[in-house]
This record gives sequence, C-alpha cells and structure tokens, in this order.
Amino acid sequence: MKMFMMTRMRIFMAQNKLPRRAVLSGIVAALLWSGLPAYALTKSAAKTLINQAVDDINAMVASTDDEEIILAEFEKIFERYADVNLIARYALGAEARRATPKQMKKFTRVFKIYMARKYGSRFREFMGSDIIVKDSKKVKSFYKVTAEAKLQNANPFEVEFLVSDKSGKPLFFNIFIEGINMLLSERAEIGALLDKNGGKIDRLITALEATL
Amino acid sequence: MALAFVLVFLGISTPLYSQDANDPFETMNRRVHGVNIALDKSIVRPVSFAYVGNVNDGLRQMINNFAENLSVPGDIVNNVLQGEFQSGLQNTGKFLINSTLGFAGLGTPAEDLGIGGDESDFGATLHRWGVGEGFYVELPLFGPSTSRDATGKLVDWVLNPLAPLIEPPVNYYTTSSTIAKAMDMRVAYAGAIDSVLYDSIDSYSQSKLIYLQTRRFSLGGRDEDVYDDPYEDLYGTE
Repeated sequence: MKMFMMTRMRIFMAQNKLPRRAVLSGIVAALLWSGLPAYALTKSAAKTLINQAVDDINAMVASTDDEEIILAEFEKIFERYADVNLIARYALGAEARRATPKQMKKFTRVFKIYMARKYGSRFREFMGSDIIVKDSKKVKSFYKVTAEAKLQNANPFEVEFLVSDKSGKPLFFNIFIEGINMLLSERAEIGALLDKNGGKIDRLITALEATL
Repeated sequence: MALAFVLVFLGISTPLYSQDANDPFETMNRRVHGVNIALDKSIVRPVSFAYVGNVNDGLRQMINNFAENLSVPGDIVNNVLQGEFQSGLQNTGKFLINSTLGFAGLGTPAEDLGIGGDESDFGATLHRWGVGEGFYVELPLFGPSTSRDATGKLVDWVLNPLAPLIEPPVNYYTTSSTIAKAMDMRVAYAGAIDSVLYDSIDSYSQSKLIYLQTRRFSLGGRDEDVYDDPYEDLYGTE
C-alpha cells in the first residue's frame, strides 16, 4: 500500500511534464501492479461489512430454532466476516511461533468450531434483541465499528467490532462487548488449556476438540 | 476502622491503568474463587432459581425497585464527591419522587418522567480522584473486585446516608430486598454467568478479565491503547 502511494505521488509530481494519457495509464498500471487490495479500507466499507454480518446473523436466527443448524450457520458467518487465521494465532499466543504449519492448520480448524459454538450460543441469548450498527471510527491502522444491542427488559449494551483489511480483504479481528476484549479472553482460555496439557500443542488440540 | 482500611489499601495502589492485572494474591484469590463457585452451585444458583420460579414478575420488579431506590442516596453522595452536580440533582429528584409518589420506591414514576442521574459508588469516586485500581481481589460471596473498589464498597456502606435512619425491623427489608435483587440478576444473566463459571477452561482468569474490563469500561476514560493492533504485534510481549 505504501509503495503504491509513493508511486502515485511520484506520478503526480511528474504530471506537468507528462501527457495526460501517459499519467492515466501510469496510474492504472500502478493499480494493477500493487495487487488486488488496491483500495484503502474506508470508514463506510468497515461499517458495511459489520452491517452485512449483523444482517446475516439476524436472518439466520429468524429462519430456524434448531440449535445445530444455528451453530453450523454461525460458523460460516464467522468464516465469512472474521479473520479466523489471525484470531486463532493470537489466541495461541507465543506458542504459535513454535507450531508447525500442519499443527497451525489443525488448531485453526478446531478453534473455529469452538469459537462458533461458544459465541453462537451467546448470540442466541440476544434473540429478540436488535443489534444496530451505529458508527465507524478510524483507530490506529483499522476501524472500530460500534453497535448497540438492545435487549428486552435490560439496558442496551455496546458492541465494538474491529475491522482491518490487512489480511487482504476487510474482515473483523476482534469484538469488544461492554469493554470485554474477545481476543484477550480467548488467549487466556487457550493459554490455560495449553498449561493443562503440558504446553503440548497436539494435546491442546485434542483437548479443545473434546470440549466441542 | 474504615479509615485504617482506606489507608492500607490506598498505600499499595498502582497507576490508573495497567494492561495486565495486578494480582499478587492469586493463590489466595483462587481459593476464594473455589469457595464462591461451591457456594453458587450449592446455594446461590438453586435458591435464585427457586425465588424467580415462585415469585411472580410484578412482585419481583417491585422488590428490585425498592432495593434500587435505597441505593440512590449513596449515588447522590458519590455524584457530589465527583463534582457531578447535575447527576446529583437528578438523582435527588428521582429519590424524592420515587419515595413518595412511587410508594417507598416500589414504583418508578421518576424514570417514566425521564428524571434520574448516573449510578455511582465510592470506588468510582476514588477513580475520579486519581486513585489507581490497586490489586485484584476476589471477595467471598461478592466476587471479583480490586483493592480500590473493595475499599469503596466498605466506604459506601459506612457513608450510606440512610443507615442512621434505618432501624430494625426496617433494615431487614432493605437487606433482604438487596439480596432478592441479586438473586433476580443471577437468573436474568444465568446464561452468561454459567458459561463463565462452569463452561470456561479457567473460570478464575475469565472472571478476573471480565470484571476488570467492564469496570474500566464503565468508569470511562479508556484510550486507544485498549485496542491493540494484533497485525503489528501478533504474539504480544511474552
């Protein structure tokens, strides 16, 4: 991205000396050369992503009562809108550096199901509640999209989704529910399970699979 | 005695926010956590469900309102100590209206009129005065807290403007309504509470993380540092 910006700057600086057509084709070439994510993630794109995710969750919940179907659907939604690879790596913490690609792949697969089940059943409790996406704000290199969940007979609470395109496309990589950081919670959980299993990744994966 | 507690706790307080929880008494805290889990499993949870199952919604709501109303004078004291005069005034109006028109706080006409300020406690006042949260502590029965917030609880109890006015048997009603409200909450949030206490791998750590983060969130003043960028520093600084 930085490279692309610099190229574009140079092209603009040279604009006076170059015929317009050459400049235009230069920009096009630069766009093509810099690869697919040749756009910067915008405030509204981040908001749109979370709106779509929330719509999918609401539609899924409205369509069925079957717990198994809901959890399977939730897993798909999680896969579509979240940077699952990054979340799994973060949860494993420093240990992810020692994991082989094969272990990492297996862990990510099991972790994804674990997350979908855990948060899927949490979201089921919000049923009958409305999640309204409110605002989107740039923080550091990503966007924070704020939503409000309105429950029946209870105070509304705040949910923040952090969205980044550093994986190559816009995806959310963390959720804060009333200030509770999902990544931190999961790193503590997976860390505790790793300790219980003598720090062995293979045993951790088996143990995590057993909780499903 | 209260003053001695305050001095002891504040003496070992830490800066306002540190990302990691300061938990020097983890071994003892974990023991208390074990006791709290056992208490919840054998008494609190079953009794709460029995209460909610046997007392109708309307009556429980009135009991909750009664308990809630009695906590408002404490809110007012803390609003004022924090310089939140607007909230203090709103809460004073709320207390007067609900205590009279609302029949000793059983009803909530003030809320219907849109009158009411922020809830607060002495832990929040200490925070406002620049006192750090101190170390983490899990209290028997009351659960997760910090040295600052536990001190605050004690001070709130001592400072309660209603305390000198309430004598037996009225104070039995106030205490039991507070307990009844806690039981009602235990059931209302049963899904979330059960998942933390009984389904998580390390329920002690999860309770601690959740308490500290929601407390900081409600006290406000979090800055961008709470939003780490995992793409920059994936493995943390362990």
